Amino acid sequence: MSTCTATTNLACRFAPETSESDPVVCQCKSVTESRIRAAVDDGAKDIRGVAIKTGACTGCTACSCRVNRVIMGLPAKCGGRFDLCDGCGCAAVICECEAA
Amino acid sequence: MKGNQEVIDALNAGLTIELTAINQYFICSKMCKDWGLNRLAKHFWDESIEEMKHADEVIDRILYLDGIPEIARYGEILVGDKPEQQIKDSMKLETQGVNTYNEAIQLCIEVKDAGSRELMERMVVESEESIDWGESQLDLIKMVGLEKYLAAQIGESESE
Repeated sequence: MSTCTATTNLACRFAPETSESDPVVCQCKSVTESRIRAAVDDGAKDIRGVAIKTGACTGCTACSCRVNRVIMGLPAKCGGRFDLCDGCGCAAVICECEAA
Repeated sequence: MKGNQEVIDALNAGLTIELTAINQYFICSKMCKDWGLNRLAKHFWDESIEEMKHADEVIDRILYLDGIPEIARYGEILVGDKPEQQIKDSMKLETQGVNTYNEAIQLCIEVKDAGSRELMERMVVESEESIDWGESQLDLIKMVGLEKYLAAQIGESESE
């Protein structure tokens, strides 16, 4: 029986590395919150402007709400019960990890 | 139809688990086939397809509620290096699914979204069946030993 060493590689391929302080906002293009904030500081005023500078929100567009929040100066996450925890990936409502 | 945003978030949380499970079961199936454990490979393959059907239904529901499905968001894909670990990993993911959907069902009751509730109740039942299967396999391993269990999982390859 062979031993698989693909665990880390696959996890990285499908779940971009993230941190609590700088979560990935756009999963399609792996764009973090800090990059979007930098684009806004650099003059991007709307989603189109952020998209041109970072590539965020040019894939499935599911991150449009989160990108808008960053443009408005708010954290990307709205802090809802079904936001996913950056630490364990569980919905906040069932999360029991230390990052919660 | 414009749906409740929190229900859409809950459905998206479920969708992330379904998409993760499709890939996790898929790689487990491929590894088991590579090890010659054809019966176990077939089970994981069927589970992967089942998760795809779940994702199909959840995406349809999110679109119906005028939400945007988070199709690029995945959780960590656990790739166990032994069949027993793969079974435990799949149970962990299914349990996360059951807990998430149970909370979401509670939310659906609060906001009177019976359609989403009915869909997620079915997801819970099917996930619990998968957890039950996993528990049975771990019990079998305890009862007959790992070697005999794996021997029973060799089964027949598709070409035979």
